[in-house]
Order: sequence, then structure tokens, then C-alpha cells
Amino acid sequence: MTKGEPRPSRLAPLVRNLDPRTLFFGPIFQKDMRISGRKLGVYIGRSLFALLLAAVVSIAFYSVWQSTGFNQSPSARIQSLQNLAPVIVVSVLWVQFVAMALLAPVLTGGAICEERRAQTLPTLLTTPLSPVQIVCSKGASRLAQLIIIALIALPVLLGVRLFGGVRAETILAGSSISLTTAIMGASIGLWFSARAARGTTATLAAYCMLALLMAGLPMLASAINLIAESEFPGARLPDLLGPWAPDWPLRIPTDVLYASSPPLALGAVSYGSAVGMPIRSIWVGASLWSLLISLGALTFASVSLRAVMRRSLGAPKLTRRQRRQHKKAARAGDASPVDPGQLRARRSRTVADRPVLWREIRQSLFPSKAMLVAAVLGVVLIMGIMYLAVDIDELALAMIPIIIGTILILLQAALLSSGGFASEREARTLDALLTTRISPFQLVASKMLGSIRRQWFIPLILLIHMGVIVAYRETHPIVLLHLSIIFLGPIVMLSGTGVYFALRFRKSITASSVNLALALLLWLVWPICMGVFFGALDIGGYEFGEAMANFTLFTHPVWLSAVSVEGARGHFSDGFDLSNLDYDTPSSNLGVVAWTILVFASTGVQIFIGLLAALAALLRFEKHTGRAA
Amino acid sequence: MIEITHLTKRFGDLTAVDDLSISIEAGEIFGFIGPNGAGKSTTMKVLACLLKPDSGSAKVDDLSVRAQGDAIRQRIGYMPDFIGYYDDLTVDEYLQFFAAAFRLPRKKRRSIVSGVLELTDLTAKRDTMVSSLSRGMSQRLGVARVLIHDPKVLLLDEPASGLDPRARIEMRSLLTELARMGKTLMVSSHILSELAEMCSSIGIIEQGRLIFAGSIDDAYARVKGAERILIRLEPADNIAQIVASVVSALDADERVESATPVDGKAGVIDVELKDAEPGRHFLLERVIAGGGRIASFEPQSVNLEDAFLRLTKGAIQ
Repeated sequence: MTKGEPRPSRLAPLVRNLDPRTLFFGPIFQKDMRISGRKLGVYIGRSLFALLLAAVVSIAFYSVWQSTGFNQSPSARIQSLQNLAPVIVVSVLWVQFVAMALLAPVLTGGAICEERRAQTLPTLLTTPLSPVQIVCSKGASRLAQLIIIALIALPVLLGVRLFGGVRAETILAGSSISLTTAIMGASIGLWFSARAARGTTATLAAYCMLALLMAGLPMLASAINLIAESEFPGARLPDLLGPWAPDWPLRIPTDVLYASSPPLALGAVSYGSAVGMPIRSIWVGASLWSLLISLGALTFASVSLRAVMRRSLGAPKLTRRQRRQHKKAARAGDASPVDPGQLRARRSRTVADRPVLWREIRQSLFPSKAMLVAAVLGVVLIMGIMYLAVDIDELALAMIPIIIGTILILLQAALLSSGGFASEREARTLDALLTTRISPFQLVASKMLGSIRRQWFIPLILLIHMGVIVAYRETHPIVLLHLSIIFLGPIVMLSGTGVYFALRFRKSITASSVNLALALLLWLVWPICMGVFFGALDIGGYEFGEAMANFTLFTHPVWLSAVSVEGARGHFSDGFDLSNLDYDTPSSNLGVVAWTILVFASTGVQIFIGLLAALAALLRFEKHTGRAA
Repeated sequence: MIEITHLTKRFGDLTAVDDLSISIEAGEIFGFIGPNGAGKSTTMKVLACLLKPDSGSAKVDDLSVRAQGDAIRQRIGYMPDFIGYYDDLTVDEYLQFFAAAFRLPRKKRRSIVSGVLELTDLTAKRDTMVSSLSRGMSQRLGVARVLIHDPKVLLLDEPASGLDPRARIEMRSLLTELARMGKTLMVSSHILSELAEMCSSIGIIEQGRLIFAGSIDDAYARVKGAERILIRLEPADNIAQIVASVVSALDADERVESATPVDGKAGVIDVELKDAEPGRHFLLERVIAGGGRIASFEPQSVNLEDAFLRLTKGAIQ
């Protein structure tokens, strides 16, 4: 630069990078949209979703019209519709919320991992595109699919308003919470995708983070409120803080507590307005909070993207011991420098006779021991807060972790099982395996067993948690047997279907999404439909409705877990007596023997379905490869 | 050892391999040459029992790929063009993994792995993570993997792809050594000079059809008539003019197929004679008539690249 020449502005490139057209809708966005636009399945999926919503509303409308009869006055019919409309709107909003919150991390979890695996990320990083633009464009292209689904639901929801009884703000608030939660999930998925080696790992980590944000923050806020209002002298927060206690009240307001968690905020929007809660501040606050977290996650993803690439392409990261070895070799004046490959060496193990199974059962859920330790410490911290804040005999102490944990088990089973085959295909190792003498049965069975084995962490944490409560004699130990059996059912079933979908679909992300959609359909959409059809609409009469409710709940792991925990509660200071246990079901109360049979039967059905799916996978694999098992 | 008869493989509307017939004798190194997308990898995948042929037959060691896949797998070692690796295993574990996959006895595995590592010069890398190997070492590991069950036939799809010159030379000597050990090798490659040095026979394939199969000498013989001569002129101030004049004089001769200035300023002309033209004297006369003074006159020997370029049209599918 010559003297007198104006200095180039440092702000200009920053402004250029933050231009929304290039930040979100740049070449990566256009490429991804073009690719998804070519897929027929995308259009079929969207059409099916729209048809499903329209069918639910139409059936509801028709049933009310029929059930009110021709003799009833128009005002009575309108009254019935007005009663039904909020139920439909709230159901659709919840389905939409859960579907979007769960699908967003799946869609973005593999976004950057896939680029790295296909070795296209270094090429992207050599273009003028900044890491922020890469991350945001990836997120925008994946989120566009979810936004289209949300937009499909909007006319249906607004159409239901014609029945009356539904406020426009409820629809707006629900849609806003769903959309911003999806943005948050997608951003967190991208953050982990920039760091993790595999899409499924990134997705699972994103789920854990979402669970922490959705449940951990309200729990923390509740704990603060409990301590702030403690009745014990000297245990109140201002007393504990002493001279550092602020002047303003330490209690966290209810609307802030609700806004800190999207499901709580949606709960307030769904039902809170009826009891006079200030829903506007809650849904606006929840939406802004989600967007703020999204911004943070996207920033972290952008910052870590280049650093991670530099690490993976450059010299290996050495441990302290390896660095010492390296220095020692250099001091000794060794002409040949220590080979980084050798520094990465480790003692080779002996491979067993079933090599695929041997490798599968050695695949860890956590990429490193440090991650495992961090996860354990995180769990211990959260549980510690809970044990401090809630009495050991409170039902909530047992119930909340079990419900959240069972949901996480379902998500984990849906995601992890589809990774095995897909990762072989993505790593291009499947061809080499198929030229060996490994039979298709051995391959499919090993993949399924490996995925089941990798899912030990969350069930173990939950069983330890219940074990602590059992140790305090506040719950019967039979709950440990019931929970173990209940957890096994969906794990085996979704592992079987996951292996099938992994063979059916080319990409692991598609297989994971379809497996997750199956879990959602079975354990979210189906129960809600049952609730609407047989509860609100009373189709088929009371007995038929009760039978359907029983069938739905008896195969629902979350419900089974909750009832098992509740039924096993009691004070067992004089010994563990089984005769007092009572399990509450929609039709009747069951004793421990009947409940145990029910739990085993439910798990048996799920295991059977899982094995059937694995058999279908085996047949497909044989047909595809032309090899007999 | 390998007998392919009227093999056809289609993917939808695309015919990847069209009525292909090849015969490879035991102990041969067969070079499989063709442009990208010609059908080389598809043919190899059919032989490796990874794809079923639509029509025709393919046999390895008299075993049909349609019905005797298990027996064939025991006899072949297939190395795809892109080798996937388990990045969570060491070199030793990776080879043990495939030894177990081929159901080799557990007691013998360690010694077999050691032998294969020694043969491929990877003993020093035994405990190194597969993910940290260089490209050359990875290719060697790929070869080590296909040797683990001591197959009779090796199907190697682009084994030298992406290697530096030293690694290519090492790979070539490794493959030659394997042929010396009695293995039959089918090797596809784009580096034709290397195939020329190690292959005993070649097959040239284009758009799924076999254009040529036979020994390298046969391939040269097929294009031998088209001899090329490089004429270098003495420097002069108006060398560009002289070159243009000589080129037009040569072009006018009906015995000359083409005359192309390689570098006008340096005075180099590449002349290609018509098939089976025995005479050379007329070239000198034409150059002198065109005003040029000859510095050197070098008949060019035909190589595999010339043969390939002449036999194929460069069409891809």
C-alpha cells in the first residue's frame, strides 16, 4: 500500500460475510436445495404430512357433525365444534413441536460430518466462503425442509379456527416456539457436527444438550427457588450469600422459568391461557431464548470448524507422554524424526473369530474416555442438584429422570442402530467385507448386537438412580427388573428396524430419520390420535376406546416406565413386601404378578418385531448381494 | 484361470459391460486398460462376486461366479479402486480382522499376518493406527489385506492410483514379486508405462466392449505401421518460417500421415508416416526442399500409450 492511499476497511469483509443472502442462501444452500428438490421422497413425505393433518381435522369435524345428530340445533353443533377445536389445535401443535425438535438435530447432525467424510470440506474451506457462511448455509438448507413442514401445518391450524374457540395467538405462539426450537436444535446439531466424526454421534450429543436445556434449566431454576424460599433457618439463599446477597429478590419469576424451556412454554401456551397465565411474555421470551442459544451454537460451530479441520489435516495431537517421547528422540539427535504415525500407535489386540462382532462391541458410544468422564460428571452434577433440592420420598425425584431418560433411550435406539451398516458403506469397507467368507447372517446379527451393546449408558444411569431410591427403601427393588425389561423392548425393536432401514436407504441420515419417524409415529402420533378419536370424539363407544387405550399404553415404554415407578413406590422400612404394590392402568389396578407379566409380554412383542425387522434386513441383504445366509 | 465369456452387465439403461470375452492364463499379469467409465471396475466386481452378470458367464479357476461364489471368494483377493479402512484399528488388527473374516485358524493368524506384513514391507507399521498411514502405505495395506488368505487370483483396481513415483515403483516390484510367486493378477491402471513394464498381456476396453486382448507385443504390432519420427532442425534466425515451409512440404507428400510442429521456435517437427511405409529418404529430401537443415533425425518407438490412443476413440459413457 503506497503512502496516502486509503486503508482498506476491516469492516467491509465482515459486513459482506454477514449479508443474509450469502450467509444463509449462498451456493451451499442452493446446491443442497437442488439435491433435495430432485428427490421424489421429499415431495411424497410433505404430501403425506399434509394429508395426515387434513384427515385428522376432517374426521374430527365429520364425527362431531354425526354425533350431534340431525335433531340438534345449529348452535349446539357449533358449541361441540368449539369444544373440539382447541383439542385438535393443541394436539397438532404438540406433534409439530416434538417432530421438529427431534428432526432438526437429525437433519443437521450429519451435515458437516458428511462433507468431512466425503473429503469435500477442505475444498470448501479453500473457497472464499467463510466458515460462518458454510455453517449457516448448511443449517438453512436443512431447516428449510422443516419450515416447509411447519408452513404446511399452518393453513390446517388456521382452518380449524373456523370452528371457533381457538385464539390466533395460540397458533402463532405454538408455531413460533416450534420453529425457534427447531432452529435451536439444528444449530446445536451443526455445532456437534463440526466436532464429531459421525452424524449419529453428533445427533445424539445434540439431543443430550437439548434435554439439558429443556429440562436442566427449569430444574436449576426450580432448585434456586426452593433454596430461596427454604423454610429452614439459615438455609435460605440470602442467608447463604450473606453480605453478597443482592437487593433484588432472588426468586426466579414463573414466566421466566417457563420461558427458559420450550416444552414448558408450549405447555403454558396450550393450557396456561385458560388459567390466566401471561402467555405472551412466555412465548416471546422462549422464542428469543431459543434464538439466542442458536446464535451461540452457530458461533461455536463456525469457530471450531476451521480449528477441527486444521487438526485433522495437520499433525496428530500428541499426548503428554508422546510429546516426551518426541522430545527425547530429538535430544538424542536421532536423524530420523519420530514418525507421527508411530506416535499414534497402540498395542494391537487379538481379533476374535467373529471379527465384525468383535469390532462392533468395541465401538464406544463416546468418542474418547474424556467425553465419558465429562458425561458422567454432568449426570452426577444434575442428579446431585436434584437430590439436594427434592426430598427422596418425592415422586418427582424418581419420575422426572425416568421419563426424560426413557425418551432419550428411544431416541438413542432410533439413531444408533442405523449407523452400523451405513458407516460401512460410507467408509467404503462393505465391498471388502463382502469378498470375505463372512455370512450375511453374521454381518446383520453383529451389527444389531453391536448397536444394542452401545446403548448401555442411559439405562445404567437410570437404574443407578432408581437403585439409590431403592437403597433409601422408598421404592421396591422389583422396579429395577421392570425397568430393565421395559428398556430392552424398544432398544431391540428399534435396533432391528434401524438395521433394516440402514440397508434400505443409502445414507445414514435418511435411515436414522426414518427410524426416528417410526418411533414418533408409534409413541407420539398414535397415542395422540387415539386420544383424539377415542377420548375426545368417543368413536366406537367406551369399551372399544378403552381397549384401544390399553393397547396403546401397554406398548408404550414411557408410560410403562412411569407406571412401574409409581406402582413400586412406598415405605419399605420393615422389608420389601410385594403384596402391597399396585399398578394403575386405564381399565383396572393390577397386582405385581399381573404387571410383571404385562411388562414381559409388551417387551416380548417389541423384541419379536425387532427380530422380524432384522430378518427382513437379512433377506434384503441376501437379495442385494446374492449370497445365502 | 479367469474365463469371461460374452459377459454383459447393465445398470438401468446403461450397458456397463457389453458382450465381453477375456481369457487369462494362470500366472499371468493381465493389464486391464480403458478410459474412465469403460467398464473395468464393473468387470472386476463381477469377478469378485459383488455384482451378478445379466448375461454371459465368468469363471475363476473353473468356478462360476453365478453359482459358486463362496468357493471363488476363497480363491480371489479383490482390492477396489477406493479402499475403505476401519480407522479405529491398528494395521495388525486390520489384517487379523480379515484373517478371521476368511476363517483362517486362530493359531496361524499371527504368523500369516507377520508374513504378509513382511512381504509388503509394513512390519514397522504393525501397531500404527490405520487412519494415520500415508497414501502409499494405505495402498500397501490394501495389497496386504488381499493376500491374507493366500488367494490364487488378485483383482487389483487401480493399485497405483495417487502414489508418488517412488511408491509406484515399490508397488510395481511388489506386484511383480507376487506374479513370481505364482499368483494370477488382473490389474487395472491409467499409468500405462507401468503396465507395459510388468504385464504379460493386456485387454483394452471402451464403452463396455473389448477392443483388444493379447500380449503387449501384439498391441504394438497392431499400431506398428504408424511410425513416428522426430526431426530437429538447426537453429536459424527465421526458424519459424523454415519450420512452416518444411511442414507444408512434408504434408504435400502422400506417404506422410501428418507433420506437426512440436515447437516452432526450437525447430522440432513430429512426423507420422502412413502404415507400412518402408522408405525414409524422401523425408530428408522434403526437409531440404523446404529450406531446413537437419540437426537430428529420431525414429520414435511405439509405446503402450500410443497403442491405447490409437485403439480407443476416447469415448466415455
